[in-house]
Amino acid sequence: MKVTRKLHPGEVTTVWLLLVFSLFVLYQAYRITGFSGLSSAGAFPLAAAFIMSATALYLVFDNLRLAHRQSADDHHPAWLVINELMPLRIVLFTALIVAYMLLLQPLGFLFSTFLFLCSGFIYLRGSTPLRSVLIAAVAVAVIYGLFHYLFRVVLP
Amino acid sequence: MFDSNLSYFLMAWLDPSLLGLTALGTLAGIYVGAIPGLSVTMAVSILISFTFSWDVNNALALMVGVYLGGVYGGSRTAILLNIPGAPSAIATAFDGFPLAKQGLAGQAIGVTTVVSVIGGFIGILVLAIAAPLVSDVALMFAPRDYLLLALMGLLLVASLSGESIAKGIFCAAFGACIGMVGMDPMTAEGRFTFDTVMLLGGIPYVVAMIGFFGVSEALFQLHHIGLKPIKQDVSKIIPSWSVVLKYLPLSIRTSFIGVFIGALPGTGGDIASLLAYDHAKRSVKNPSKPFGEGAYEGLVAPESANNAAVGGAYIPMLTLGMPGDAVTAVFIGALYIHGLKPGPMMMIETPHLFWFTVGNLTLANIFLLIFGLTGIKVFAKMVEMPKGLLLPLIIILSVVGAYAINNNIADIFWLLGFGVFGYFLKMAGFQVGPIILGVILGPLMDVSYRRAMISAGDHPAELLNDLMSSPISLTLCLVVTWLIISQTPLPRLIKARVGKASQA
Repeated sequence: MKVTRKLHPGEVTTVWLLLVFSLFVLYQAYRITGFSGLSSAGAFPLAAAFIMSATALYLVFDNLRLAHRQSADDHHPAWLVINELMPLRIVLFTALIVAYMLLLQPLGFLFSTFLFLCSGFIYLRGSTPLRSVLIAAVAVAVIYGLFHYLFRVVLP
Repeated sequence: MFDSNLSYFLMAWLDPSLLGLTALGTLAGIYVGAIPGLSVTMAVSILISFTFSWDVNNALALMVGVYLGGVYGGSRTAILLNIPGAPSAIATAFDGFPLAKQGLAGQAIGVTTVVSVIGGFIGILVLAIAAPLVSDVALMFAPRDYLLLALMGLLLVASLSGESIAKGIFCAAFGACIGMVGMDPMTAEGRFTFDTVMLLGGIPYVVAMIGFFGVSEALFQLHHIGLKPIKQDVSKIIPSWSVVLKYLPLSIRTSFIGVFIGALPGTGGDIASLLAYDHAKRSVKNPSKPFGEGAYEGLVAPESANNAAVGGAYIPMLTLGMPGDAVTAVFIGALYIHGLKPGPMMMIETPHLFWFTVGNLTLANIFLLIFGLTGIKVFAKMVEMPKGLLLPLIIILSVVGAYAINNNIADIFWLLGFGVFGYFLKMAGFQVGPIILGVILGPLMDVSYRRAMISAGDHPAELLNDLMSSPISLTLCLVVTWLIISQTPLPRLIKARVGKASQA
């Protein structure tokens, strides 16, 4: 386990953030009932949060050890790491998802889904623009038919 | 008794709509398992939200089909593209892909289908015999025993955590915290609610599942959007009788390995198939080709084992409520959604459900044989679907699925939150499987731990005494200890030491 593991880009920062997050969870778990008893409502959350914090702390030290061993040319500048973690494609696609979620209610399910699929297909180059629009139209029809009539799901 | 059980068993066979749903599920499962980027776990978690308003039987028929079909379907991409569609198909790629490179993909798929079905039947047979027995014993369990069982289930973390156990443990504990959010079931105190009403009802765990397995996976795959699959000739696939008979003994042997491993809480199809592959490698003296270069034996062993493990995994799932792998964890969530409580009481409260499931699995296995050997041409086209089309569709399915659970638009934003968080975890080498394990097992551990502690009067020493004095608890304690030790390097060290000593 320890021999071959290599640091992922941005892992050091992520794990640090996770440690902070874990300590926050630990504090919140403590706030439930404190250390009032072994069978209180807060006992198990406290234990779980403690395990989170302890493993995160271990990982922080493990990463330090790994970073120390990695050769100098393995260290990447920050902009490269950010580019690796959040390439433009992923950021824009996520933005597209957020836009879709926000437009879901004002525009209605059918129209917003159609727009999202069209732009998604075209942006990710799933097909040529014309065919993308066609496939999106068919997909919306199939999804609507399937879920509305077969699964009887309430659509947003 | 027997008559009624038989009628439950045949229920899915005689009702046209159940028959149709099982067939549809199996077919869909094969595709889901096979299309890189879709996983059975993802499909089952999305399906839960679409089918929760259905009749239980209909929903189960569909999901059982998807599960069985999906476990098999994973082997297809392992053979054709060297990308295991599911973790349980990892060993299949060792010899399957070399066969495909020799242009024998069709043959390989044919053999795989037949042995998968054989394995599936053996798994179901063992399930039908063993589950009622296990359930009888489990009825005598006290809360402390459930705590031990949940611990056993958590050991699955070791096989789900990927490159680092510490990361797996972190994820499982985090999942347990997600499961804790909301009102405490025993004292009605709010936990992790930040004094808001919104969080008092807890975080819908199906939304978390879809977020982690659907959205975060889709985002993660944007990194590899350019990969193009290779075309294969798959015109002749039905294997001859002589080939089937030749590999039958190995298939049966490895099927039993599969059921056994699948039935242990904490180990599933992935470990079963690897162990079976290892068994084949050691026991077969003259393979058709050297292992790793396209030996059919290397294909027969893991594929028999992983489908047999499905039946095996149902034993702890239905009788104890313990998952054997990520899919069964999600499956348990599905049963809860339908108001069923998987565990020893299930066999008493809803005995029909058990025999219905057994009948359903058998039926799905037959459909597997039919669909596995036909429709390959269409299949080859579907697998080549570009990711640019697939990923936006996954997002739509996830959004519809998350919304369908409570018809609450806020759940969609939870979905995205979990998706993005899961993405960053994945990028840092964390696996999301243990989180779901924690979400499912955490609340169970919490309640059973506290009940055990209360009955021991809040004295740890008293609890320890209870654990040691009851035969069931003591046995479970020993099993847990053995399982923990067997996952550390200790046994290997001892074996090496003993081996050296006997040589000297």
